[in-house]
Amino acid sequence: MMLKAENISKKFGKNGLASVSMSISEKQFLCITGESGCGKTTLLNILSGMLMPDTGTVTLDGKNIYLDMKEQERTFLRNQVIGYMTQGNSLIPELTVWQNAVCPLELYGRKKKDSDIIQLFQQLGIDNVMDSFPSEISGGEYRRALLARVLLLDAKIIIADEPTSNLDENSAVIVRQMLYEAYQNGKGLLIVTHDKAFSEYHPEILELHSGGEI
Amino acid sequence: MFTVSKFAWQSMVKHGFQSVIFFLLVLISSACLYGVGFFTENMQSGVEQAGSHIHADMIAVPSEYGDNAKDALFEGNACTILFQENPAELLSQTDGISQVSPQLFLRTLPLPCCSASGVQIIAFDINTDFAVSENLKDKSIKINTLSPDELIAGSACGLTPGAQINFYNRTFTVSAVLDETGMGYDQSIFISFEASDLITADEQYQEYFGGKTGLTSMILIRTDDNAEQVRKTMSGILNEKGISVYTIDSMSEKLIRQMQDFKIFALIINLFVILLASVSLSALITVSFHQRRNRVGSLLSVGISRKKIIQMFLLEYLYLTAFGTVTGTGSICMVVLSLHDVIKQSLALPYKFIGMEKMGGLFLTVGGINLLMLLLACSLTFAKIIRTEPAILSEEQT
Repeated sequence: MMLKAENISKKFGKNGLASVSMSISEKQFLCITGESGCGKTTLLNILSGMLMPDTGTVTLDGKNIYLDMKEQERTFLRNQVIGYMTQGNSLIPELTVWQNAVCPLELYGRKKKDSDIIQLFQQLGIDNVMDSFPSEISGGEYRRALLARVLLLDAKIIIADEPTSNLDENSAVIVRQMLYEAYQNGKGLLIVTHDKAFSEYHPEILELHSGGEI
Repeated sequence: MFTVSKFAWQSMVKHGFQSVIFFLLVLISSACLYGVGFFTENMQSGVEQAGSHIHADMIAVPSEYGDNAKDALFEGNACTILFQENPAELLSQTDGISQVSPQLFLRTLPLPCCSASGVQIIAFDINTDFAVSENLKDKSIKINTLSPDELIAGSACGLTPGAQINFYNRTFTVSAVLDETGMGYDQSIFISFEASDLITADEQYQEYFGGKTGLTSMILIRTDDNAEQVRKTMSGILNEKGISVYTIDSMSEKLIRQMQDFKIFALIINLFVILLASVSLSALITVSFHQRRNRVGSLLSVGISRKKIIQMFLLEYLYLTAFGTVTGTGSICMVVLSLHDVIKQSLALPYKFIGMEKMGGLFLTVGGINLLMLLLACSLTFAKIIRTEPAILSEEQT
């Protein structure tokens, strides 16, 4: 399964992304780095079907996700094929950590064994907060809960935006290890990060410059 | 299993303050809409059926007492109408008239059993009556005789069969209760002419009745043919004798006009309530959406469709609308029903309970209006959810 972007661009005022081409497939680990405002998050949003590019194409196994897919299909991609861990505080405050993790699955009738979920929570070190609400947990636990939500989707390609930013070292280690484990299990892994520690896992590194140059 | 409805419920509980405000808005608008509707329908029911509950085609009263008679009949107002001579025999011999029945509006008395505004005491002739007995609550009861110490009570007098009350220094036992008529009969007590003669002849009440017997205030008339035609034919002769005859239809015309004016007023109030509630709900939903905008983006980022997200929002507001509608209509219903007799006595119009079936219909109407208001109020927010790109909603783009 290959997610491919060709000559995509998107303009936001003075900032934006200009003519970027890249691809990510299963069993591939790719890190994107670059200075702030160069369009890294925009690139991830476009690749995950969250933001339509001004120009260029994004294809999944040759099928243009913006032109050949309806909005609903594109949304469904993020539930089945592309797991997207966004940068901000995107847990639902009204739901517990557990409910946040399982709701994308269960709303579509997909059910995971409770024991598997608990095991994942234990691996991530958040099994003690699974009944807490997002406002009641620390920043590190919050990011790990976001990762749990994405990992439970069991998507073929995982896209993560700054997964270790603002985390203490212990939390960052757990997040890095869990993402690498997912890659080792055959997932495609695309990460936007400034965290140099990811280099120990020998990913392919793409540096994005202002204006979209790679 | 996590479901859309569970999400909506949890979200509603978590946003307690907003939910309470939303609930109160729906409750107040429902109470207003239902209250005004219920009240108007009760009045309409009273006005529409006022004429039919008299079971007569015409009434004859002393000339210039037409308005008093109308007020006494339809509104239960106090009145003093007395014929110099009882015209019942004269009327019964007139062509086109099939039945006549005299009534005496004795007095309106504040009785301890009943309302503060007083109860009208009416004497009627059980032998010729076709008005009172037709309105008996229990139709199986056939009143053939009414002794001087018995009475029949109107529905709003708060009396039950077997109860005893005192007036004019006499004790009366309630032998039957009338069905609700929506008119003055509801606040009236009916005694026999035999009893009224004993009262009017009593020396104690000399100053009121002059010690006379056989007094009559009004003659109820049934006709063979068209009442208006009969009235025209006989009015010349009767006018000379100081008697005016009015058809029941012509007497209810003014009431119907008043009712129509009131309905327009009620409609304006309801439109104002709907407008105010729609704008308030719309503002509340818009503010709530702006606060939760990134949640929508977040849900979209993990592949939850816009359709499901809209369902979540809608269901949350539907819960609140349903609770608000049921509580609002239920509470106003209890208030209006518990004050039914007080309202009836205070109004200058007939007022009759519309019945459970129409109450249910009114509830469905208010529910439908609330649902439309909700959809209208949500439409702008839902349009934003549908049109805006997920990344913009989640505010994650740089």
